[in-house]
Amino acid sequence: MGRYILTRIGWGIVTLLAILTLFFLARLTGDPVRLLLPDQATQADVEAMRNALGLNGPLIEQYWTFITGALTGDVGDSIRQQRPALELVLERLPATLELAISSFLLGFIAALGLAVAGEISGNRKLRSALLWAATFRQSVPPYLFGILLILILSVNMGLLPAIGRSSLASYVIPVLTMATFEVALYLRLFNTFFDEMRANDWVRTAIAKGVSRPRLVVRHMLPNALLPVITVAGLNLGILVGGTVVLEMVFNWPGIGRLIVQGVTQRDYPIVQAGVVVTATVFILINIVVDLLYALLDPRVRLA
Amino acid sequence: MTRFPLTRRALLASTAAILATFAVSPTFAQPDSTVTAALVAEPTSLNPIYDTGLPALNVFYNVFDQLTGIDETGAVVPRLASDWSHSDDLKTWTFTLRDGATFHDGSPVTVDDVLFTYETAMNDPTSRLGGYLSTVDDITADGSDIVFTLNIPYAPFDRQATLVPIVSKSAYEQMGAEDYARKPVGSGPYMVESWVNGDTITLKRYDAYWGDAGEYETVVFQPVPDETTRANSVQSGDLDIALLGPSSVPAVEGSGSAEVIDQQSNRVVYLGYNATSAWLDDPEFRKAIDMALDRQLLSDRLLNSAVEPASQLVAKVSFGYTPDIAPTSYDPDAAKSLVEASGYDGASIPLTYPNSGLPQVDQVAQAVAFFLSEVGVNVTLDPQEASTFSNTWFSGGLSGLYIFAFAPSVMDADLPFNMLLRTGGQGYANNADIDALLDKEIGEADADARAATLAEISSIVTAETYYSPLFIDTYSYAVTPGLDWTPRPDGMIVFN
Repeated sequence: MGRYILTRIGWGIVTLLAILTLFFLARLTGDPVRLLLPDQATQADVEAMRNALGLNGPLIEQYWTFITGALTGDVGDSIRQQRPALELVLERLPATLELAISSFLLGFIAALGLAVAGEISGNRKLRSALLWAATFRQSVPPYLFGILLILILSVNMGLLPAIGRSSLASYVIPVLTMATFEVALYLRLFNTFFDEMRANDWVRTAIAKGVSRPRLVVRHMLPNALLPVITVAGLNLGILVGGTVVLEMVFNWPGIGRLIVQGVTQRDYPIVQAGVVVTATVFILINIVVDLLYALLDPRVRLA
Repeated sequence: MTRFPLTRRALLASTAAILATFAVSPTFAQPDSTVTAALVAEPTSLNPIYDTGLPALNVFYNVFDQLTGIDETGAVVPRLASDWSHSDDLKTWTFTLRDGATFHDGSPVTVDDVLFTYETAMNDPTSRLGGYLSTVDDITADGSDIVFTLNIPYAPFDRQATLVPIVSKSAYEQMGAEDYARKPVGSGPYMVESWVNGDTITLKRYDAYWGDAGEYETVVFQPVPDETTRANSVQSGDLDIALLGPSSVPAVEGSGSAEVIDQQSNRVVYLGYNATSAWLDDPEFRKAIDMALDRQLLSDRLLNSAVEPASQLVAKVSFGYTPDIAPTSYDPDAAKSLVEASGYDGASIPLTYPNSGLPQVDQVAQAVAFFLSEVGVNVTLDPQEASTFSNTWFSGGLSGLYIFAFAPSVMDADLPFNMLLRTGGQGYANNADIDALLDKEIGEADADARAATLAEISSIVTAETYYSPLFIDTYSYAVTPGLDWTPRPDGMIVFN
């Protein structure tokens, strides 16, 4: 077990290095110095600034400084903000995480509840109604759904704040937007697996032996459906953490997505790199956790 | 029994009427008033020496004083300096510091603070502010006077001083640059109370301010980069003031929950020519393109009729604008014959533009391409990410036509003319007469004479068609109905 975890972490670091190298090449896309100095700055001002920021050396030298720094957790100071870039990103991480995790949990639990209830009821109309609702929700992109919620709940009815993260009320629209999308995703997954299972011999055997419907669904079918769903859920949680950039713009949410966008437009490489390190790390950690969960849930998987 | 038609609608209307009565009463007397305004981006630092971006400058205009200021008509006015003068050769400038100005910690503003600010900016190579001060050779104190020695005669130096917020030396040294960047101590009408990263910058009124007092007890600046989000947030009541994109204006106007306030800006959006590239090196060909542009149509169809066709590279509010030049009239027939006369072979000319930062820029570029195709000139659209474009522009690497804008914060023609027209700058004019006139105007102490020289430069630009100014931009704001606030042409949102 210990060795398995160590191997996974080792591969995680290799993945991280590869990602960092890829993003290092972002340096080739433009010069941050001209963008941050006033228009009137002379060429001498620009050169002095480039030297001070260590942007004048050969690329390979810059790469070495960067990668050795990154290995010790130091991706450098933000060019714009003169503070450690990692610190800036970590400051924003809670805002992103609380949105991602609360939407994920709400969505997952609601989907599980609805899918199990639908299956236990054995009511085909209920199941197909749920499925239709889920398909409809999934077909509306989250940012559009978010804007619609803002227009209805904030602009027209004035019930909830449209932007920011200042009060509990300001969480409602973002969480609602993301959680409903998650519900739809997992509800459809659970449904698919339940559909497949219903025709299996062991299900029919259980019914023939007189196992009650609730017990059949909760004790026998659900654990089997959970395995594949958790794999998808793990990947999806990672995407939620790293990929809510558009939603953070729509809700003006002070998370890492908006910070990274700002870093990209200002060519503030350390911010972008720190953002990538953090989201990639979260992604890799989630994957390790999913692998471990898999082993716990499925006795056939052995961690050797 | 009589039925009173007291519907919900009637109730709402009467409530609104009562609220409106309150809203029109003056707001300056409210003791606990709060106003929330959107910034289009978040400042990266609140230390003036390390951030010269417009969002930061907007906060600085409320939190700091500069030696001089620029009012909403574009005129230079006293601020921390009660008075100033210059030598005849414009190389020595003397500013007299006013009595009674204090920093937010209560300590008086002294010449030491002014010297400290300028010297730190000039000596630290990583200072952004230093970029504004390349003309300064030396700065000394003489009693309550601050004396600048410049390395060239520099007529608009009193305007340049409006860009340098004066920091408190003792607070700066005590806190260190990094802490100061989070909660700076200035001498302006508001003091920084808190800055929540990515979310809000909250200011409180500084009651001991020497000048016009802040109108609000609390000012909240909220960075909201997305245009649609800004428009929605004023309508929902989350924001009181937000800059709109042209496409949001009709919706906000029709909503009834927010007003739209227009302010003509100091920004001119122009079509530029690489006058050294094929076909564009022919002045007659450039003139043809200039006449093919229907500027009024651009304004009416794409920009809510809010912008004014431009005749020159500076806006009306800037020093150096001349009313003697009119915008080029739309004349497609004359344009077509000029194109035919030029022997143009139909080769496609690139039209490069930044894909964000300018109003409706994609549509404007498409419209320009359409106008040109109408007179037989082929154009290939080449949109670039904004910072990529700006780097290309700086290095003089644009290959044909391009769309960009200039909004000089100091509202003086010297800066845009030097960058856009001087040989070796960001333009492609390479005109010795213009270079000579630029050398002349910068040393002219008499304002009228200098204005005449700048006007002469604009006439050459028009005669040679080095640029086709498209329109003077207008900033449209969504504002909570009845809010007491006056916009400025430079887009800065100030509350005193």
